[in-house]
Amino acid sequence: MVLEFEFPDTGEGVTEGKFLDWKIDEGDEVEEDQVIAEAETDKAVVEIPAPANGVVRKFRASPGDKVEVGQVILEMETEENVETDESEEEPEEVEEEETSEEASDTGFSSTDSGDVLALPKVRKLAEEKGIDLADIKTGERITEEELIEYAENESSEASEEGSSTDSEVPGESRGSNASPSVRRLAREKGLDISQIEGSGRGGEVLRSDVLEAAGETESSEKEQKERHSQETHTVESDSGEVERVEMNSVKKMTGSKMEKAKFSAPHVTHMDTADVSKLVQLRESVKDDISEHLTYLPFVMKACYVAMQDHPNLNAELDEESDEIVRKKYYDFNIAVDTDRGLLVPKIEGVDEKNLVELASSISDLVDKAQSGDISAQEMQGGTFSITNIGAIGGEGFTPIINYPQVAILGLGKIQESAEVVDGEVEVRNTVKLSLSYDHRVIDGAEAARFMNDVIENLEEPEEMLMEI
Amino acid sequence: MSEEMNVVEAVNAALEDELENDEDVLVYGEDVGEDGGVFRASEGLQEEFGRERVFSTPLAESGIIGTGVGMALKGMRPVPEIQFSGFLYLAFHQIKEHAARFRMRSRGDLEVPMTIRAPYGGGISALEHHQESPESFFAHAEGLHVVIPSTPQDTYSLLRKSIQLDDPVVFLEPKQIYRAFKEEVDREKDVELEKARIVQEGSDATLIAWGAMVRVAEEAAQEIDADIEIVDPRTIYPTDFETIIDSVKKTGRAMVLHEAPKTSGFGAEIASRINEEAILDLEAPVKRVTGPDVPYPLYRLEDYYMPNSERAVEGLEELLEF
Amino acid sequence: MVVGDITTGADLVVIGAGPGGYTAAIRGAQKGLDVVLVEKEKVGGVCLNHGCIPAKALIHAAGFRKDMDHWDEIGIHPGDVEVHFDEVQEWKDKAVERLDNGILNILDHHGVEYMEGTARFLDSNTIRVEEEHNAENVEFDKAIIATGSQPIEIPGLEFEKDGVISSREVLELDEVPDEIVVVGGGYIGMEAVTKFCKFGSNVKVVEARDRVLGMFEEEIVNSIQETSDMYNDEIYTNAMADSVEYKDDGKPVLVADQEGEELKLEGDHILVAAGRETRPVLENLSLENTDVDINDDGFIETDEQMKTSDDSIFCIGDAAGEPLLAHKAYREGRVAAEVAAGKPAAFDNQYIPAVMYTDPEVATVGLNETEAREEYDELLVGRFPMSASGRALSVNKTSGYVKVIADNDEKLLGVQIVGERASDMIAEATLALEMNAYLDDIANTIHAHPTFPEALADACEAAKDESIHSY
Repeated sequence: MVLEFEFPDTGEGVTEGKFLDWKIDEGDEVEEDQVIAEAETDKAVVEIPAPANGVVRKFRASPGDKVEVGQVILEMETEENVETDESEEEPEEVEEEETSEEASDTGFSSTDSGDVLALPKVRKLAEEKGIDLADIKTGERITEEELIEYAENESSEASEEGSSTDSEVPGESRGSNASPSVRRLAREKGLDISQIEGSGRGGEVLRSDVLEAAGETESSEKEQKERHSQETHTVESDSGEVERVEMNSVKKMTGSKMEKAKFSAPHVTHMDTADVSKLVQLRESVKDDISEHLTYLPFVMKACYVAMQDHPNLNAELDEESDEIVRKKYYDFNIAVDTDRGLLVPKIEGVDEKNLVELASSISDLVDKAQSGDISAQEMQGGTFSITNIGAIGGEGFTPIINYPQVAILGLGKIQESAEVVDGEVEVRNTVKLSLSYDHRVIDGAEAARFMNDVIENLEEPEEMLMEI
Repeated sequence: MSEEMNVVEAVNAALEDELENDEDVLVYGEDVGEDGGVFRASEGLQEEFGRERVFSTPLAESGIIGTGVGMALKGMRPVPEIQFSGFLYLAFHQIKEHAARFRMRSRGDLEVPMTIRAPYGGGISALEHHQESPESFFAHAEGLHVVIPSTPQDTYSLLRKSIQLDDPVVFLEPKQIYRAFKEEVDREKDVELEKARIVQEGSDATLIAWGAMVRVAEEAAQEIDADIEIVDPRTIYPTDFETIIDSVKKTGRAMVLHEAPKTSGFGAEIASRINEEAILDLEAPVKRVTGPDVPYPLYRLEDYYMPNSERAVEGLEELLEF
Repeated sequence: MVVGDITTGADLVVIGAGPGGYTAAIRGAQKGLDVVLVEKEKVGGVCLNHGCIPAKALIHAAGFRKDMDHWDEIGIHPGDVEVHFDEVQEWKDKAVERLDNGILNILDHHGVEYMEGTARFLDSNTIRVEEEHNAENVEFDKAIIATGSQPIEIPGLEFEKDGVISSREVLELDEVPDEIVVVGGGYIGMEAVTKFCKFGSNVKVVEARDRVLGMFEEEIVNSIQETSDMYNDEIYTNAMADSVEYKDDGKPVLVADQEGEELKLEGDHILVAAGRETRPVLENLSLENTDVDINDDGFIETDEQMKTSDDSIFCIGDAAGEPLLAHKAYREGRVAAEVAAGKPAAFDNQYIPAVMYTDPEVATVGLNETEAREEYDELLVGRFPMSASGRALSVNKTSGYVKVIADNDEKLLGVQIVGERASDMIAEATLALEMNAYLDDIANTIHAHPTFPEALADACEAAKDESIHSY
């Protein structure tokens, strides 16, 4: 096939150039990308590579010529028509090409990269399994084998998490230490009863054990109704009328956790201010282009993560029995959420792996779940570090209590405009006060201060921080 | 109110409700009365409504229909059953030359509100005359409605509508699927006569099928790696060409699937109309997958005659690859 | 059908209307499925028609007969008692018929389509049912195989031979035989002994192993043998049945080999009760057209949800394996039907009780003492003799005992009961075990007085060395 090679567009707004010279001769065999010529444009001297494997037939430009982008400068024969020993195979190749072109003309395989492509029976199977095919892949056909493989991986993960809801019964439930009605309850919840710890006599798995493992408690249903009306009643006490308000289970649990944390870890709170003017600008400039609701929290999370690379003790736990600091290599941060029932701390997994948009998405999902009461215990337990944003409601500095068994928690005050002295002049800047409470058994003042300095630096120069993530 | 029933139970329910609803309705035919019909379509009806309204007849198809025409002209609303569609031909003259003709003959003064029911279609390994697909003959006889349901809901609703229509209807029931599956039938649901049903939506090709072939079409659509839109005309004549043409314009390819032999089968009419009204939208000629041009064979060869999902898939593949 | 072969569609097809099958059909319908139940003989299967129920009816009648011999002790003198066995059989048949009709009514009430015919598989989603004058296909989403089992035939003593009968025919006899030879000392054989002895027959038992009732502990077998002479006189152990000969009057004579010596026993009938098998029944199902596998023992393997190696087919009851007990089939039928309907059911039962209607009755659940000692170093064992039960005394049925076995933490492991109401009492024990009960759970629950189940509570106390009513 004769190929007419046009003077390529080398970008940067160049529309023409001066042809300098050929690096090859007519009749030469060239390989794709091999440099065959040079030309000069306003900006620079550019090398021109061969567009394909083939043989140079005819030069259509000479040194010194003015050439425009798109102008044919060379004719060459590309391999299909080159006289070689393989010429007999050509007609088949050509036919294959044609039929494959035809087939693709029928248009029932889409090249739109966002489309889900699957046979109806694969779609039906996916529906039965409750799987969204878009999760597997788009733009390329999904076969039944791929779906089944995906489903198997999902269910083996799910049975570890205990959240599959098929009538598939994971695990052998015979020989389990539980009464028949409890065994059935476990099955209904999609849990493997042999994985549930029993609190009954002899390790018997009780109804409450199953409910707990399912992320509900016996009283959580009651709580849903309680949410809007806490039990209060007024009584006369010795000194005067008082109102007694019953504490719901969330409040009780929060209370006991706070008590434990405060009494086991010696708390010190380090406070400092960050000038986040650049961060505010950055967020303003991108937030409208992003579908997710982008707060400052993803940036703060990343800032902490980056700082932790140099200060790993901040993402750790103290093993009191062995006197070891257990530094976590994973980054799952809890965020404090104010809900109708009280304070909940959903956990954002993989802060190191998610990008800012993904973090924003996870945050809004979990906050919604927490506020609607749909969140499970597993989605709140097991975090490595916590961030609490009281500034969203009001306040600057405060002394947050560590989320046991973590060793540090970062409190954010409100981001506000304040008068700051910059280079001897008073300017209006956006600032935020940060309050870091830490466990002095694990972290000392100097380390905390250095960590905080890094975090602040990351927040003050966000674009530099973004280079590191 | 809705309950689960299969096709033949839907026929029974529709007959019962029409007998209840309108005292002019009569249900009759060979073995229809005391025996409740050879397929139990009229089971229990004689006990409920009496011999004056539900009764058996002698073995005489032209008489069954001829007397029906007479009763209809006198103000009754007869619903005769012809035991198998292959026996309709014995009454063909009465149907075409009289039942279908009276309104025109009398310039609108006389009408024949008669619904002739017959089990039709193949796939049940039966003898000669018992597996005929005669819809083309009746579609070609001007003045008749020809209705073929494919689900229990359509059977119930369309049979009632047919009986309520003041003109003659040939209501062909696909007996192969009389008991094949049950579905929820809502007696209050309003299903239009003369309107096609989109069985499933798709964008790659339109597959037009009716009766027992609708299930074959669904199977074939699942098998094939393409997005097929399936249209069930339900009323063969007058045909809802609007729905069919709109669908073909959307997909650009059409195939008709029917049991009856190819030559002059109703697929020929559909293909012609598509040709007339949508030629600029077609990317391939209209494909027809049908029974062959031979009499319906004895059961040993039945599987070679009846269009099945493999043949439907082959047809679709050829259509899509054109 | 008059003309033609119209296929019926169904959500669930159940093959076999025995205890497992009809239960599965009803449960399936209760869960909203469209069910077709196919049975080639009678609804209720072997259990209701040729097994459990008629056998217990005859045992009940026999019991009356036997009891009357003891009424003199109580002060009631019935005089001469006549037994018209044909009338007994009539009564029994009516009871069975009533039960069968009851089941049919319930099936009808739930809209289950009942087909009388033989079924075989055409593929994993279709069966062909051959009825008397008709054959048709039924297409299904799910199917449950509940085809049960049949008596094992011994070579040399085939059932077609004159005088050789199975457990089915023995229940249909017109007259009480004077003498009857029973091949097989398992529970079916011993129940036969029970009923016919009580009616006055001379029963001879031939057992291949060294003792009868091998599946029960020796202590239990000794107990019933001590209590009743029925189980002693003519029991021949270590004897292998070989063939049948005939006397001049046509009466059959069993020829057996007892440790090298020839043994000949004559009787009006020879009952072969040497166990039950499933393979011949399964072979008629054309399972090769499906993905269902039959294992080497002739059973179909299933998982906890009663599913076979074919995704659309389940198997329950005898066809699915040991133990060949109706109550296991009852439970499995429910499980299979619920799973077929998409519910999260499973056969996670840990305990299956066993009951034998000898005199006195025997019922066991869980581990016996021998088995328990193999697994546990220390055990708590409590034994309560029925002779110490006020209730037992009040009905003159003092033979037997209740034995309770628990581990060192007092958690129940097993219960064995020999006595008048053993078959009833075992229910409480089974529930207790399934609920992970401890000795105190039973002992501290108030058992009404005077009743038989009190003995269970007493036995639990005995296990703690605290029995009030016994030593």
